[in-house]
Amino acid sequence: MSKSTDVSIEQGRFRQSMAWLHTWGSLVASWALFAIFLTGTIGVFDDAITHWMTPERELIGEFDPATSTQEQRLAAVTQGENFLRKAAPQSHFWRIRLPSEADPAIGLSWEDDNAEIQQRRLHPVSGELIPEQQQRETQGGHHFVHMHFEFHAGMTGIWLVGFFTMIMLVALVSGIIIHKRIFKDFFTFRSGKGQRSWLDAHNASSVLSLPFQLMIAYSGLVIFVSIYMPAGVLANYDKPQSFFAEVFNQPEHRPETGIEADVLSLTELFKQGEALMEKPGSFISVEHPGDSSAVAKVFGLFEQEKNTGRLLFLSSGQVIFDAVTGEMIHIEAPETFDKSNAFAAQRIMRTLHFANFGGYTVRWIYFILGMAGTIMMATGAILFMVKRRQKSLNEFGTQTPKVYRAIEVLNISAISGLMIACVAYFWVNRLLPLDVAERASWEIKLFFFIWLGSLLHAALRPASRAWIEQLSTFSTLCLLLPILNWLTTGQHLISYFIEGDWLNVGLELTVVLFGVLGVCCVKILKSKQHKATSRKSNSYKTKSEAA
Amino acid sequence: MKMLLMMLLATALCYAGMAGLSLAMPRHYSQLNSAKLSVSRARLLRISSTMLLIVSLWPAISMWGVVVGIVVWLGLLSVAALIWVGLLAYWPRFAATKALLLALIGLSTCIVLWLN
Repeated sequence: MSKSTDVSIEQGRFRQSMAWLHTWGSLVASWALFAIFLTGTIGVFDDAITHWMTPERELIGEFDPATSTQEQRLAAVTQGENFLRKAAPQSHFWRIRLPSEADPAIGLSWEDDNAEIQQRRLHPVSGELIPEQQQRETQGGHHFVHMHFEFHAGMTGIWLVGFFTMIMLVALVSGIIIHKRIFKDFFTFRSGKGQRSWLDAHNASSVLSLPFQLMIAYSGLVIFVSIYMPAGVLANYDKPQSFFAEVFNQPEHRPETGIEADVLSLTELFKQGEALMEKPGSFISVEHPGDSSAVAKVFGLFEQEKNTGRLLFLSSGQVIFDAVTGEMIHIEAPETFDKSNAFAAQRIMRTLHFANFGGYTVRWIYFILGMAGTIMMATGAILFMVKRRQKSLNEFGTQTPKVYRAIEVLNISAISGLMIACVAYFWVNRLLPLDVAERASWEIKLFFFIWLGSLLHAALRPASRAWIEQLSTFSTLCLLLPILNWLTTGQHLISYFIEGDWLNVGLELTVVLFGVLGVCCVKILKSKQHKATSRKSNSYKTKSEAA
Repeated sequence: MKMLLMMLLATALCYAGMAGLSLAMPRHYSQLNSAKLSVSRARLLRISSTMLLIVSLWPAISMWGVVVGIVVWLGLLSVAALIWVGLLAYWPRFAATKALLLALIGLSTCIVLWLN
């Protein structure tokens, strides 16, 4: 045998093993990755979603963070401080956020006796507590972001997402290897050809957006590098805090002394902080107030314009005080970056991943490419079944039909079921009464219940029916969302249009667009089924005629 | 407003460039023309499309500077290619006419902006 055939056989074998890896590795991960991608893509617009989900916020009043006077800001800090001193004198942690563009109220958070973070909002002028009945307590768009990076499961979720992201990188690379005609088929999509079309859609969506997919998976891992790769920190530092102090170029966290000591006036510290940074502050936090080790941090207002054209964001300014003596411990001057190069690299990856570096134009690019990634996952998972529906490959012997059925059910609920759950989350936001206790977490619980419901539905119905029914539900929920909003809040597309509320206009139009796309999918599926059944009855006819 | 204009400009040029590159391949050329793609025409399409893609860098960079401009441009290349593939599959003639129009409008807008 000549050498060249040896090489080609070797290559063939390599490709085959990569194909196995790509098929089975990706299938197992595809359901989780679809969830990570869909929620991450929706999460690109987290601010806009939070804005839509909190229609009551607009009614609070005006406090423009960009043009506020120091007097206004100090008054807001005083109001927050008075509340915290009364409500949580023994707390481990306080934070007062000034009214911002996203939320015109004063935001307070503190750690309660059970080490849980409590949050309240105060009226920016009167300083009165805004009762929960008057606000739509919600996680808003953050729900999608948290679903995206931790499945609402804390550290376990972060590890799971990291694991699946690693599989995604493996799938991308193995996919490139097994794609025999990556350049010849670069622009190829042939519609209406069954399995061929699914493969084309899978290839086109992944190949054309490949740079984005590689970047987003890799940068996603780098964001949590200190969690995913802890060995270096554990081997070189006594405690992780020392590592972070060094990375952030800041003094180390001071342990509690147990000696009681009063915290100085936060208003005064905030004023000093603003003077030292020579710019307006945006929030102040205190670590263990009441203890002699108390530390207060004043943060400068983040100004997007200062970072236009940059991937490495500069500091917005930060001053750290000893909250008992008032001595300044550390200052990070605004518009500087005084940290290591390795940290700078990590920050740039983070900015690239978060899509917060170029306004809504960049967010739309990320949304479209994220959707391409989502389509890549979905078409991949569906392709697996389309291939085997036509001809069983008998991978599991006599159990094969059962395994296929399980995969089909998981496909349906992972894809169309999650789509329903996502749009239903918007419905729940409008329908759940405002005075329900733990309202925000109920919204998220219902999101999961609805998702679970879709799994049950998929398990009970024949696959082809389940797809159509779930996609129809999705489309209906999407198309009727503006009407639901009108009925429940009295606000609608036209009123948003007149007010110039482009975030809400954009959100509702996008949801409606997805409803229309859903209807198209249902139509295609129905016509296909119709053809399939008529073909079947035709073949029966010819058979019976022959008989 | 300027941002929107520049973005549309860059997207238009990327779209036209990607369309040209794909039409330089016999398979896609035959989706629109009954005549066979000649070697010289393929080369012409390839060169002019590459030029369009290079020109499309300009609005992105002038809006955001070199660093962010290149990142945005890379994203737009993907977006434009996806739009082209979608349109080509269902409405090939419309997709191609649009590409030609966008190339002309895009280039003339660039020239006008340059002169001012």
